[in-house]
Amino acid sequence: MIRASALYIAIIIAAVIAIFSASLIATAYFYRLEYQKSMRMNKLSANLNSGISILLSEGFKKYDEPQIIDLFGKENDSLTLCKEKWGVFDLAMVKAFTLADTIGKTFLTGIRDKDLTALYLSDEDRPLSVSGSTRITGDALLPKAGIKQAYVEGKPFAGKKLVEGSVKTSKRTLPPLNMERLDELEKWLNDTIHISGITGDSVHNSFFNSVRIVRVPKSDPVIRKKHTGKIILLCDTTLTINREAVLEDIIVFAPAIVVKDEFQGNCQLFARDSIITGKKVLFNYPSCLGILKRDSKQQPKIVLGPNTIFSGIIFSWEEQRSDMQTMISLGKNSLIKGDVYASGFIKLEKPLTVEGRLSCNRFIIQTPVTLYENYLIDITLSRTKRSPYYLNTVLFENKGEQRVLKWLK
Amino acid sequence: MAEVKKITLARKLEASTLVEVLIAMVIIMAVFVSGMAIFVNVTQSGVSISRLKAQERMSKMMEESVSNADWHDQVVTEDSIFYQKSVVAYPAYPDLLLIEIKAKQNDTDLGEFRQVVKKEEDEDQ
Repeated sequence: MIRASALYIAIIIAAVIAIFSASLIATAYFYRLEYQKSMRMNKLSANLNSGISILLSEGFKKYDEPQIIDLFGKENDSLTLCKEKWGVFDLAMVKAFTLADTIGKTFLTGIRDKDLTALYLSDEDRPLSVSGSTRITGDALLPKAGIKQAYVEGKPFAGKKLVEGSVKTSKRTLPPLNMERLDELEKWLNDTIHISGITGDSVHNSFFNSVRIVRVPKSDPVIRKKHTGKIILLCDTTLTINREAVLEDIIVFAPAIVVKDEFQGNCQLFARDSIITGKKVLFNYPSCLGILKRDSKQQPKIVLGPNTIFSGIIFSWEEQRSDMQTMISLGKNSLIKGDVYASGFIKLEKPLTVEGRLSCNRFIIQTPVTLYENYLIDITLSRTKRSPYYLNTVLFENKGEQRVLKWLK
Repeated sequence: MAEVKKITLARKLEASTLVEVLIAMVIIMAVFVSGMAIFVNVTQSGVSISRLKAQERMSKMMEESVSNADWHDQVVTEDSIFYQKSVVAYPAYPDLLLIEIKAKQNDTDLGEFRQVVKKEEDEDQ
């Protein structure tokens, strides 16, 4: 016997059809939602790339003021752009946003340096002498007195050509540095105002945030912990960076800085009096060591210990040439990938390799017996060995294309 | 024949009332029709394969232009979709270009893709 109750059966069938339809509708809805999200992300990603291009453009010259722009004048492609000075490099930040979605990137920029100069020696009316296994690859700007071979400790010059590149005449002074950038660094070196953020703990600050200033206490001026991101460390006394410290992309300002043996990191260190690093220290690209001398009667110096590997920029600067010129001392068996600029002396300990450029007023080389001036003995100096991806700093007033140097978080 | 009729008449069948059947039919029809209407509406207004394909192709064209430093106008027809790439200077920035790619199929706009790019210098050092 077939039970009738057609109404119940109809309701059940209707419910099944309703559930089936609802699931189809839900599937289509979520698919569409994801599609729209993907389209938005594609658009944001393209806008982000446009923003990066604008920040790398020569036409973008505004520093420190975030700018909101309508990319194509259609009022639906908004970008926030910001460029700041970060030590000797530029820090750029771009955010693309639409509705509740925002994506962003932050990065350091550098200048593509096409200059093939390996050596710049100011003209102090004395020649440059080369001896031993010295090899200069790249252009050399030398005093009018020129370059000559020399016997040092019974060893002649072992190479075939004195300079594997063109030789030009240098001026009496080094090419000037970017004063605007130096003034910015000076401002931080003179800082005694910021008193907040005293800490002995590890600190991380994203580059999307505003800068975090941390003053290292005078009572314990030692960095032992991890400091990464958009952080400026200030110290009023000699600051020691221990081997176990982890420094990533930060800037340090102190009157004097001591870096312990075997430290490894990536940071910019600026001091007034001296920066001394221990042996087997590794500074990853892009790092910077800088000394800024002003009205001091002492000789400020940067001393790199033996077996150091340094990638980036080492510079010393003084306002006016004094009797106690600044000195950069490069340790034995060290490898420098980048630029060394001394508005004073560069002291070399053989053997030493520089993949990049040396600029100074005078060379000093110390052997067990004698101190030689303007001699290069067993020094390898190669501009061509420097990586083609190496980007330089705005400090050197280079005219070149800006590129992304490092992506940051 | 007479016996068969007798047997059939001897059994009793419970039947639905006319009202029950009518209501049931109305409910099923209403749910089915509304479900179909919504489904058709969603599928018709949803994502079209052509749009997806066009978006993908435009994105690839942009990538190729940037990686090959190709700053020339271009017209491409692929799978009956017409792509037009135009390159113009980006206002206020002399070293920047605006690349715009538009996709069309039978006079229907399938989308557009714009990006500002930097004129790269040659890689030779």
